[in-house]
Amino acid sequence: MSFRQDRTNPASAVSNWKGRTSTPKAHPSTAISTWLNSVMFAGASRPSWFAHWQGNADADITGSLGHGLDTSDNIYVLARYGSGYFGIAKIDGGDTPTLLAASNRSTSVDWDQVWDIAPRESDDQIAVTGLWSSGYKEAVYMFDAPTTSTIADPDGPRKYYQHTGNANAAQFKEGRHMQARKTAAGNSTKWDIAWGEKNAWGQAQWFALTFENYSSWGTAFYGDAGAEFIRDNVYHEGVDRQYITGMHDSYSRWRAYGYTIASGSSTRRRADFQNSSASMSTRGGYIVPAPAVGADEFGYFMGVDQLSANNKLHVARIDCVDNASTDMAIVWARTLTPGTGYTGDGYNLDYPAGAPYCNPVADSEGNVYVAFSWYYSSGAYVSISRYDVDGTFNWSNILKVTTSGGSVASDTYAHNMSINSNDDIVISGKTNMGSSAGAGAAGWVARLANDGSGTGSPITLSGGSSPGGTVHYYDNKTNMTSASGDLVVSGNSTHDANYSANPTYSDTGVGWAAYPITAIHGSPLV
Amino acid sequence: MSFLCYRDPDGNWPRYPQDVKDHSPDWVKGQDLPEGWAEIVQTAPVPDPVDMTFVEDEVGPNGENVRFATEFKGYRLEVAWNDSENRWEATPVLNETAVEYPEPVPREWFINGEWTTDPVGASG
Repeated sequence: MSFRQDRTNPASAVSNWKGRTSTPKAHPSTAISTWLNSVMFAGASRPSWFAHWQGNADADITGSLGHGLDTSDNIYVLARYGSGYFGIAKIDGGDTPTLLAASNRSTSVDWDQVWDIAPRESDDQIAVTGLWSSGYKEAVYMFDAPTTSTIADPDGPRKYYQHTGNANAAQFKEGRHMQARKTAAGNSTKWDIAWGEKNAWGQAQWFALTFENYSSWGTAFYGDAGAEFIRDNVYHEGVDRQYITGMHDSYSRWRAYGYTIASGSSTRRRADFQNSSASMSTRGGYIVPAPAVGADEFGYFMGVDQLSANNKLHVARIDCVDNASTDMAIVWARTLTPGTGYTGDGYNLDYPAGAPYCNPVADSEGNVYVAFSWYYSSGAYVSISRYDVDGTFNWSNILKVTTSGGSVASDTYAHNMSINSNDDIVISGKTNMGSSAGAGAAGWVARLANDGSGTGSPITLSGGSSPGGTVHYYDNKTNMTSASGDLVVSGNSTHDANYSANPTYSDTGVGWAAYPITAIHGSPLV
Repeated sequence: MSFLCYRDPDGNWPRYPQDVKDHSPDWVKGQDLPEGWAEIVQTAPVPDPVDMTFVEDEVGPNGENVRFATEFKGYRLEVAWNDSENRWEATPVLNETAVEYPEPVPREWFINGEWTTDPVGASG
């Protein structure tokens, strides 16, 4: 239960309210007793913190850094470093981030990208996905969960696979997502994975499958062949439903997929999202499920409009994403843009093209968090914002890293966001706080209070090969503009799933060297 | 013909159920709309876009493939009142848009006290 601070601390001055449209702000439709949570009446919110780490002999973190949580809120992080090595680490996700265990480092420089990591507790396994650079094959490793400070080398070979329908030049280059699927009882039993595939003719399609272990791979299926050009596939499994999102070939519309697998159904429901001018979008497109709030079952859509210099982030609450027989519908939509007066530390935020952003995520009360990264000529930083379940813009903070020399770190990107069992935000990515190329490249993960607190004085970082960097976490809401969104579901349709019978799998071995991540440097955000 | 969204009393669209509820907290979806609000009906599916022009692919910061559109020819929705049907309708109309991006900003690295756009082995 959240205390609805927005209802007692409205974002706009009362003197600016319009009589017709703003009157409801002064007359909340629910009793105050239903707003309360621990934030103001039952104790302080949990402390926020920022932690970073570097490789061992290879200090330069060079790849996307996803993370996964177990049910004890431990954080498993994934790092690509050097020229294609990777390793994983387990971090205590409590109030003080500490390194619990780390793996060796792969010896072959063959990971073009590392994407996601997901622990599965039913059998204490951890799966990692990435792109094997030889032939651009999707690859998976499975580790045993650590019982000591060492995460053992994978007990099986790398599994990689390629869709033989485009055997000559299938390239798994666009998008990624993986999660350990949880049953209703809360145990993870399988992994789900989705990605985009571009073939030799420049066509692409989405592709997804479920697997349990090296020898048990579920039926693979893929989206409409030919016309699709997918980015940032997301594949989420709810209690009995699945969600897939992807980009349309033309970049002009998002296509979002929700379909059921219950009772053997293979029918999925597709919705096309666009704005009124049809001028969207170059990146993104996510639908994520939200926990049930009362009788409502819904999800959130997020995407970015980048076909003009006036970049916008769209977020919308979507009903009926769970039902193959019902159209998707927008409950509310918001457009988030930098305010006209925003000059954020001298950086122009009008041009996030190229800036990756991470998945949205909903907490247990249905509040949704969106994050993306702004970058500019010499710096990049992360914007994190929250809307409540009714679409009220609650807060918007900036997470920024500066080097020991005072420059904005060149490489601060958010890759992955999740919510732990206490409704804290966990977000991870990479940064570069060094004064020389590569020397200060680091992975980072932050645990942030969901009420947006923790903004305050900058923190000087210690540890690593380039200590002295500074983390700034500050309130940026007044510099952002949130308006009723320019987003519609322009088409709903039903599609039969296009099940594939011919993905091929291969196994290969790989070496491991003793270069584990040796330290996590955590600092509280106050 | 299918429901697309709402139009508010000031003529703004798209608007959604939550916007109506924010305006009239007692309103429940399915009831008659408050005064001044109206439904907008979509008259036809939005066709697939006709054409786009792209600049060359780039590799994004996370290694993803990135393309930038420079010209877009597709369909946008236009809303107008239909007297004979007595309703607001959204109709797809062809739209050509030149997309203007700011000049690409070169990636820079701070090496040995100086910024450079060409770091040798900067990222490993």
